[in-house]
Amino acid sequence: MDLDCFYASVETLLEPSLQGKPLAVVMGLDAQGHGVVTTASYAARSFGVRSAISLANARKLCPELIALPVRHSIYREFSARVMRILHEVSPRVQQVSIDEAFVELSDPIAGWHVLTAARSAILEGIGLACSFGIAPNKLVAKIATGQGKPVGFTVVLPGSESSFLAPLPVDELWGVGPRTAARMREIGIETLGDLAARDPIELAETFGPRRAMELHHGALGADDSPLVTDRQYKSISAEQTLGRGETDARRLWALIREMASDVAHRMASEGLVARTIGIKLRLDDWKLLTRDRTLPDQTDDPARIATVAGDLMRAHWQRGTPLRLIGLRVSSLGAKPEGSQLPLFPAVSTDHTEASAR
Amino acid sequence: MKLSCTQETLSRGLQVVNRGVTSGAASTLPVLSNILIASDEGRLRLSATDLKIGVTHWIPAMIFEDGAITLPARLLTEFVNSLPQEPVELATVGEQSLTTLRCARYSANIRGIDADEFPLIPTISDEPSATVPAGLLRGMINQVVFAASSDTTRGPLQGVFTTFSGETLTLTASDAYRLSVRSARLATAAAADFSVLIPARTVAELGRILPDDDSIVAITVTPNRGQILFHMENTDFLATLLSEQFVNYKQIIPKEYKTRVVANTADLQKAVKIAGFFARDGSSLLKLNIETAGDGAGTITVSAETQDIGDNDSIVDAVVSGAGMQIGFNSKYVADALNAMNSSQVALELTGPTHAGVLRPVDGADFLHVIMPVTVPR
Repeated sequence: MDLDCFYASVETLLEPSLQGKPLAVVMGLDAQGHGVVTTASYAARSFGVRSAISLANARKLCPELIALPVRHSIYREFSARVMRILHEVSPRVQQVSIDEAFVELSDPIAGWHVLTAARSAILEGIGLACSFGIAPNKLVAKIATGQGKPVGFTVVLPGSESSFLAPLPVDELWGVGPRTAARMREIGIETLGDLAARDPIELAETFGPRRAMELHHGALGADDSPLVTDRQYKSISAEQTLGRGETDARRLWALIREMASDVAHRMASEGLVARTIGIKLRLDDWKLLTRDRTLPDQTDDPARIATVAGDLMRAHWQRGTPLRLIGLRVSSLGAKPEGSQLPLFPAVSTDHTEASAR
Repeated sequence: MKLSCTQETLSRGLQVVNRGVTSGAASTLPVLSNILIASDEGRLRLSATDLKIGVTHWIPAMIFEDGAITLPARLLTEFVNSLPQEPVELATVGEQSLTTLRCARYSANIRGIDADEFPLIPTISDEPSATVPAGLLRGMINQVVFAASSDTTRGPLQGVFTTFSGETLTLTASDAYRLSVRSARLATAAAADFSVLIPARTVAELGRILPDDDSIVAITVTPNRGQILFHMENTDFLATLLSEQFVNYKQIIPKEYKTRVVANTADLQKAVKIAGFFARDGSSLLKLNIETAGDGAGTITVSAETQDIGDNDSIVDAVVSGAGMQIGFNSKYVADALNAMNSSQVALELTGPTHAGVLRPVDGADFLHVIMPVTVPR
């Protein structure tokens, strides 16, 4: 399940006069009109406004664009109501992000009936549109969900995974970014069908044996990754793509703080605390950099998470280097202890993210 | 350079200066993984620095030819530690920074880095601010430094707040959940009162170097409060100070209490250690149940419980004044505090289950340790 234009839909739901207007929910929105588009309404998309482009570029495409700041706490409430409906469908639900979830069903036909009912309940009871994709595994289900959008419902029956994927462009496959897609085009691979038809040994020459195997399996629609239900969280993360590249440190710190507060809320709602805090940066040359730090004690404090992430940024990101993606991840999760350690005095952790932003 | 010294003094000297060597992985400057070896007015000077601390140690040696070289700390130390207790001869060979070491039937050539590349460790020529016996300072450090925060986001709490006030030296450290304060009389008072914040990691290294005896340590701070020098008999320990403001800790220390419990330190230590085996969830919760028979005789029941492991109870005799009380603490914090107690009898002063508890030696006003409780779930 994937909620359609989730943030923009919630904003429209709360302010019906926005219905049908070009609308963008913008992360890191400030008074000067800086920020990155996280979600665009379908009206805005018709102008070419996409997520991960800067607000300035979005305004060039669509001068009437209405920009609204991200309001995580409100989206979380709506998300929780949607997830409750999914939990009534099946006890086995893996929430992947605020607007996406995998639901495990016993068979595709019965599943189609209960999910159609769930879609109506989400649309009529909450007011949000969503898309479903039913498939034998998570990999194909995710692609199927995307193919049906908006308000879609795609069913891929067992045995038809590879024929469903064959006509799709290679970058529909999870983990195939622009760089991998470009290298595939160089060797004549445009669609997942082209990829599936190649000999993995031949692919290994370009992508290395392990990655070639992964890609080939993916193109055939083979995936045996298990459903990870809420109680088995290994990490919680948030990330934001930044289009062509963000260089403004101040806006990056603002994004870190927003993501830290998002992650901390999700930890709190699961009753979890984390010891390891990490950042993920995709640089201008598509290189991925991940760094983390393990604290001496557990935390779910958004200010502390942001401070550690800010420290990691300062240590590993050279100012001025454009970033295409920034992410924050907490791991080494544990249940929040029942008894809580009282502090001697309020947290004195100086907010370095704030200090260095000036 | 050409010289000779005994294996024991060289080995001990290397052990001291190794505290200042930058660990290989953390260093971008290869020479910081080396130890500087130099002739210095008839003695042999060993120096190491990670640019935050600098350790210099002098040992007696026969100097045949003056000079200086830096050699890789780890290899040099491992080699010297393996030698028999016989004279060690050290000589630089030619101009390739190659150094020959000979001892009994063992010899080695070690490639070094030119001494000119070694950073200059600044010297402080100002008059010492104060002096204190080495063994006393070492003890004080061990009672305080563990309470500092090891979390690099905690700003000033990563430091040990060091105050010179009249004839009194006070060390204070806190990680926001506990606070340790130790005072002692200086051998020589400082000319004027002042305080500095020394990184806790630095203080811990100093504690390992300080001899456990009555020799005198002279402490000097640069006028700009940037660095502090601890001058020992054969060792100089120079450290960079933190510029941050320490928390106003005096207001945190409870001024009064409702219940005071006195117990044998070793008995309580044992009960807390056992509870630690059973306090295995995130908050390491240990419960103290203090009961009194009315005439001062009473008991402390120390207990812990973890769902999947089990639970335990230990009963310790105590003298209780005031009402009975139940309170929870992190078992590790209580164990650390008791380990730092320099007295056979310990007093625990409590106000309530959500208020700070104070541990102090019964027969001394020079040390106190404050711990915030863990709320006990219903």
